[in-house]
Amino acid sequence: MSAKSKSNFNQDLNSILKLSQQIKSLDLSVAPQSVGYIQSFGDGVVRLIGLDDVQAGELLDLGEGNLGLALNLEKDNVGAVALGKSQKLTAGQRVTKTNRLLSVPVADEIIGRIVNGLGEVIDGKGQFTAKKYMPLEKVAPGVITRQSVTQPVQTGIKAIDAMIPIGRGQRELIIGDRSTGKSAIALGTILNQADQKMICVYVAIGQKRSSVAQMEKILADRGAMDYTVMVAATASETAAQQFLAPYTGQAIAEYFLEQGKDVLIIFDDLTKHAQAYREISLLLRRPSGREAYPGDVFYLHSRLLERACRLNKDYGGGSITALPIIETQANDVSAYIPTNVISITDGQIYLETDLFNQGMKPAINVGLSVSRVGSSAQIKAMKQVAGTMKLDLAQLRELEAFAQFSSDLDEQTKSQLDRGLRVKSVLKQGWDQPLRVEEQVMVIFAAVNGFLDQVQEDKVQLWEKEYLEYLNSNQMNLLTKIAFEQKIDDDLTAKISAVVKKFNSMNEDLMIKKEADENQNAS
Amino acid sequence: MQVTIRTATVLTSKQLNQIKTKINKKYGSKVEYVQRVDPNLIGGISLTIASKEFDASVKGKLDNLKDQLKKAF
Repeated sequence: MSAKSKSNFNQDLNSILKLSQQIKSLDLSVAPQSVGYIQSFGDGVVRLIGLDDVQAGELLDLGEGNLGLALNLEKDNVGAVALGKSQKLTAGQRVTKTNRLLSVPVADEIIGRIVNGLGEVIDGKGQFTAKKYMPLEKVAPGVITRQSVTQPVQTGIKAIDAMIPIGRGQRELIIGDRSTGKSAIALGTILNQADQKMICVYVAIGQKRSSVAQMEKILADRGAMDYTVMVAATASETAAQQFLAPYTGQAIAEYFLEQGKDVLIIFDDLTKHAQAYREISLLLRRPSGREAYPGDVFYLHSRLLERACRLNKDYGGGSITALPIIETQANDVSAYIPTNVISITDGQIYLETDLFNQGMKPAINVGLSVSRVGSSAQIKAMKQVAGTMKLDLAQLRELEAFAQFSSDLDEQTKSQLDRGLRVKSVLKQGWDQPLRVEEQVMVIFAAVNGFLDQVQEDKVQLWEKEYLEYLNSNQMNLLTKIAFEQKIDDDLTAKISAVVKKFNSMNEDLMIKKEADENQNAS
Repeated sequence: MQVTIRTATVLTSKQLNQIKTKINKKYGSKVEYVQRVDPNLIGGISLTIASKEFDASVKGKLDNLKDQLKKAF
């Protein structure tokens, strides 16, 4: 035998000896094992007889590599939902307990990956090694462990950051009909978190796979996948997976919360989540209530959203900000699920189809939207400039009916109308064009202090675009000063006013023509 | 309460009585017995008392061995 083959032979001999030693050392004594047998299986629901001591929410081994979740513990049978595809299940098959509750493997490497509702990787880039198993069901942090919300979440969207500010640790509902821009707001917020030291978790429930793929591409192209995790339980997944997906996302967010980090989690959307839960509950023959939803559909969402919090320093100082999305039918916010979630969250952003069709994008109804955290989550500079914005817009809404007669109005009313229209125009924004907070402050300052009154009404957005280009190329130090000091003193006010005036004078083509006025006065 | 006795070969009446006396002593006399002969068990006996299974069959031990070795590697 050659030396190499001799060493291979020795290696094999060693491993065989090791194996036989290991077998000898194994404990093969008979221990009582809790078993059950499948009585029936249909529509993803497995009925089992036996398993007398199973825990509620415990994972069951259904055999052939299938897992189930024990949800209904009844007098003479156990109702479980099959997780995953569950092929090869037959009646009479033996089922055993796993003695563990549902949990997902998480590690730092999960950032940038796409997982399904059970935490399994689905983007084809290979499994990562789990550092920790986070439970899906968890009691929300207690009262003493929390801290009040004071740090802002910069969404990059002027309408939100100025008038409906969101803070780190808040739950803010995004509610509206289909195709009003709900997911766009969520996406825009994620895109703006690049330099905000925020980890984002996007949970897609019941969506089309093409939409999820599109979203992933947008995030990847803009470099957002460097700080985002996607959890996707698409429409063809079982109702059980769609039901568990938000809890999976929450468990992943809590892994980072425990490290003291700030996390943003978006549930898109909870309406489909409630529908998946209704499907499971009806198949488990649980009693149904209003709109055929089970009695605990409120608890379904409240226990999920209560886990979004801001922890105080003794517990790491991290936060989870939740942005649940609800789709209404025909703007009905008084339906069952919308009212449930509105009463749980700390405010809502209300999107209307009418505004969307009028060209107001984002289609936020500022009057009906509210943030119960409010200005405690704004930097002082933003508070200073945005203070009067809501008032200007409310006055505009009152006067809008008279807009058609604007030539017959007195000077003061006309100027109020003009001011309101320009402030409203300034709030229009592309979903993929987030603004940094200092840029927002500069633009809103110009709008509320009357520097836009002389700009032609249909040129306001062009004005804004060119103004921002001007600021970013010529006045970077001013922008950085606002970003750094986070407030505007009198000196800064004067400087900013000078800059706006200078810009206006350089862009006469955007201003209302003065000769037209003179001609009118002459005639 | 139901007790299922599974063996690889048919039990003699003496063996069966031994088992029944032991179980009745522990669990009282209101016990329903179901006997099954399953050659897949290879040898030994597997008792299922209510919903607890005591698997002392050869197949059971081999399956146990397989699972434990899988976990070790």
